[in-house]
Amino acid sequence: MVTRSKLPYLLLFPTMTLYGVFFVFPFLYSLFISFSEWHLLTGDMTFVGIQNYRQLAGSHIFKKTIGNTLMYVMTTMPVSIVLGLMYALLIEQTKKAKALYRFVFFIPVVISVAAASLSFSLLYNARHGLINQVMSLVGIQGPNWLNESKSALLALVILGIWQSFGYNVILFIAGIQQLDKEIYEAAAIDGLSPFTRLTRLTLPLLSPVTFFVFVMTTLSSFQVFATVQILTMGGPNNATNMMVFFVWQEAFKFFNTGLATAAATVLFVATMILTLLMVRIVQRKVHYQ
Amino acid sequence: MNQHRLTGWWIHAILMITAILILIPFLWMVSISLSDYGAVFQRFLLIFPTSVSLEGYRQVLENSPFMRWFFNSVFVAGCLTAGQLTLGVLAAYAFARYRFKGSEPLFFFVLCTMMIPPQAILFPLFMVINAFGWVNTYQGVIVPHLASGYAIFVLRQFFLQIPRELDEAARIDGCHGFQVLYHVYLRSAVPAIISVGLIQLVRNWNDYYWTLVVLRDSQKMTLPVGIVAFRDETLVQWVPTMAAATLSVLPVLVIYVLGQRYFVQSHVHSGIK
Amino acid sequence: MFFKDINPINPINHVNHVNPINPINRMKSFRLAALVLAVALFLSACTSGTVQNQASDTAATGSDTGTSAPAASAAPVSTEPITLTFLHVFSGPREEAMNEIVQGFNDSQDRIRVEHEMVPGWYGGLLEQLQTLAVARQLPDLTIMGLSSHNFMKEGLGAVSVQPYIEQENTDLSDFFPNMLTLGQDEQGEQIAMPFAISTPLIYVNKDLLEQAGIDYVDQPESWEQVREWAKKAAQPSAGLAGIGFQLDYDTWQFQTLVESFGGQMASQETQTIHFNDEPGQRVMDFWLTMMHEEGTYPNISGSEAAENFINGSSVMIVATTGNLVNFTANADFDLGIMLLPTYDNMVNRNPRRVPAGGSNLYIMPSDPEREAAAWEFVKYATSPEAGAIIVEKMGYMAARKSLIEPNGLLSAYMAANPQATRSYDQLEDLGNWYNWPGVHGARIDSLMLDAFAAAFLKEKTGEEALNGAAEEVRQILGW
Repeated sequence: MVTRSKLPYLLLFPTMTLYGVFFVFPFLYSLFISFSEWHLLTGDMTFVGIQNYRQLAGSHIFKKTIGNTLMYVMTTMPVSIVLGLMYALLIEQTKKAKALYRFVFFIPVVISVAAASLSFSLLYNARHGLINQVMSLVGIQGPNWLNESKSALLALVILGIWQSFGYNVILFIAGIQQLDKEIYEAAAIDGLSPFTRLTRLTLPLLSPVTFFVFVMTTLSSFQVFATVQILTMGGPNNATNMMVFFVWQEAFKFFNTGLATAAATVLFVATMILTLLMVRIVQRKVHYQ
Repeated sequence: MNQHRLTGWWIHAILMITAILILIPFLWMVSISLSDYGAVFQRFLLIFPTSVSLEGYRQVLENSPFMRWFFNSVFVAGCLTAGQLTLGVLAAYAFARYRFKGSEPLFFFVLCTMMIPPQAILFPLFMVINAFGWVNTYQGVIVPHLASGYAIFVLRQFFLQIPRELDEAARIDGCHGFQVLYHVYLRSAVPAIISVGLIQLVRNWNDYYWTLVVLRDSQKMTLPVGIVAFRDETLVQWVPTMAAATLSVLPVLVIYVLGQRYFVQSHVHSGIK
Repeated sequence: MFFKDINPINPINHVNHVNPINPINRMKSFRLAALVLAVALFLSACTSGTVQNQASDTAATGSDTGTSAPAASAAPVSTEPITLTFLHVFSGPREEAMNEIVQGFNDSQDRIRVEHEMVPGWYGGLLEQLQTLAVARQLPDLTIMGLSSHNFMKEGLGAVSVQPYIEQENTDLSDFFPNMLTLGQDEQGEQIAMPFAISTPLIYVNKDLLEQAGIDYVDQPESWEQVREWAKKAAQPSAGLAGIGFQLDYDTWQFQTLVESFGGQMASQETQTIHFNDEPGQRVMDFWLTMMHEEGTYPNISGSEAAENFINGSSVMIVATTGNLVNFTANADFDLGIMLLPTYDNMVNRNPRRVPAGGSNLYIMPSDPEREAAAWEFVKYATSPEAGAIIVEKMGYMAARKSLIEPNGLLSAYMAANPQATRSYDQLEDLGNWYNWPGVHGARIDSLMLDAFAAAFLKEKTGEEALNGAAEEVRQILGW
């Protein structure tokens, strides 16, 4: 079965070389730098052991950053998945205009995060923003969105959900379309109510898709960066500072290479563990089907 | 029957309202971009400008290297997509067609690259680029991301669906390695390649974080980075800012409208096949 | 579904519970993985070698201009013009002023061509850009930089001193305001850079709103307390009319301004002690917090929003740099007034007023002697009376040359037509330095102080806790 041909290696050579140089190596390199203090401007490099990690562990900003990131992921991800599933089911219920809905729901996914963030930055404007204007119409004084801790994080969560749930809708629709029609016909004959059909049939059958959506949404929420950088710069008082932004800020604003690489390593290892964990769970889950 | 039609209307109502809500950030952007400078915040029915002016667009086109950014984006996104497709087809063919020493761990590795956020290696990758002298260059933006786990994965999924008999028949006819790839796999995978190509094109077009870090000259920037830089934070001029944002989104929307079925198709056919 | 297909080989293996191929397969795949890793490590060895070489290059030769210097040095000096890059932070109308100066220089001779470029994110963004470019060995030939990073420009980024050129050419500097020249000097009095676009903080007021509230316009308030009273009287928080705005988006310049006008100081490098959390600093926080939380006259918004509100007539006052003058004059459709900063505590002579200079110097960045000399030519042009006139008229910054604003100077007509533009010069004699934190930590210290203010504004901490906490952090960073 195993081919003796050299061709597959030849075919994979460019890809693997690129991954080696631009993915594996940077990680190892980063690991190496994270144990040293490196003044980029002078080129002086000294080995400092785990000092950077210790400093990172002692940094209240980093702690806040982890808290914010978890908060962001734990709110964006479930809402985005639930909305994705809900709207996929609703769209699949319709007969006409299916394509139109799919088209519209997917638009936020294709619009660049840069343009979207610029638009949202004005939508969230406390005085002139559309959101607060609408709220004041119904007599509510809207929050000072981007200048208050809680509302600023919420603002990013809303933007994150807006950006991501359309993708999930499409994935769920794809999943629903793959479902076996015969099971449903049998269920209809057995007289199962629509609700029972949903909870007993559709949801369990969709579980592999749900897991895939779960993995992708979780990982992409962890990567949140552009919206932070464009809308809040991590502020106010680091209320919206998140992992990737923290690394970016340490690296390119404060030029603290040690702390930046230590934080990057933590982020990398955390996401890798998370990824492997989820892949395993998903693989196991799928076997039961 | 009657009740069924009623629920149908409800569903449409919910979907319609949601669709409008989804579009609001985009409509708002367009609306502000068309406003008169003096009356940016005088709105009619909250969202419509009271007086329309193209001044914002004129300012973007005259005062920023917008067209330069546009062509930079075309170049960068084009090169990246072409490269990702080429390498993706080769790698996908290897994974789909051959079983070789190390194919399992290598494929698992590719899957991991697809999932681990590239942002995690932002800074070390920057230092690698810098060691090559590639800061502020297009190769610095393009080369590190030429290998796309997503393209490899989706194309492999598609190749796996191609009946082995076709492959074997081609071999009996005397085709070898690359010829089989071309005659059998590539030809039948055209829709998948278009799908992956369009999705990657949009992704590459929209990339923000890596371009932000690598490209430093405003003349070299791509659209997403350029329009954010164009917003003067010391005194935000909303009309031209939104005009720039709107213009930057248009090419992607055109691609999306024209290739709509491919976007959805790719997910139906491969992503979670 | 999805992950099932990840591995087309596996299902077979699962069916045949006993799998003779698999263990071998594993081992072989292990070997391949090891091979890939080895290749990666080999590549890594190569690249890290490059990195170290580059690093030592940089250390040895200072830094060169990398790609921006196209092999000009190799060939015998030709008639090809030298192209210099020049970075600044100005966009919009202020960028047009830059364009005019650069254009004027390029037209004035044909040996040197300057290309200017705006870097977003104000001085902080520019500093970030310069550091990155220094690491990439692509420093520009010329750049401006906010005065708070003056020391870092010299010590961290190796800005080229202009003193040798001044001595060599016997450049006449007598026309410059001496205390503006000081801004570009180091502690020993060596002229590192030339003052370029200088500013002082001013209180911009909406005279119409002031009048409506029955407040008489004056040239200079007696005290910050009086300013607070005005804000209280004229603002209508419930109707969205703010009393005052401050700009704390990028740096702590306005905090320093207030601390010094309350008679305090930021820190002392001689004694290595932090002073911004002493009594004057605490009073600044009280001043802000009272207006923000008790009187509701100072909304917690960004400085750019505050400026926007001021232009739209929804803020009575804003404390801002001279550099906003042209912008405010052009965009405000109300009667714009400009007040000088009040002096300490109502008692004019108890403490000398100090007004920290804002704005930027113009620096020459290291490359090779020929390019540096060419850059000096531009510096001379950009600090000439002609260029100075553009800086004042088109940007609103202050002229560094006395002759410009003298009765027969280039700007006499402009000054007569725009009496507001003369206001900054009235507090020129009190001009002091924008505080420079020692070492490379300026950006971090600014950032953590701004975080502390935000924490107090958000009521997460009291003003005192916020300042003391920030002072403690700064102490640790500096090792004081």
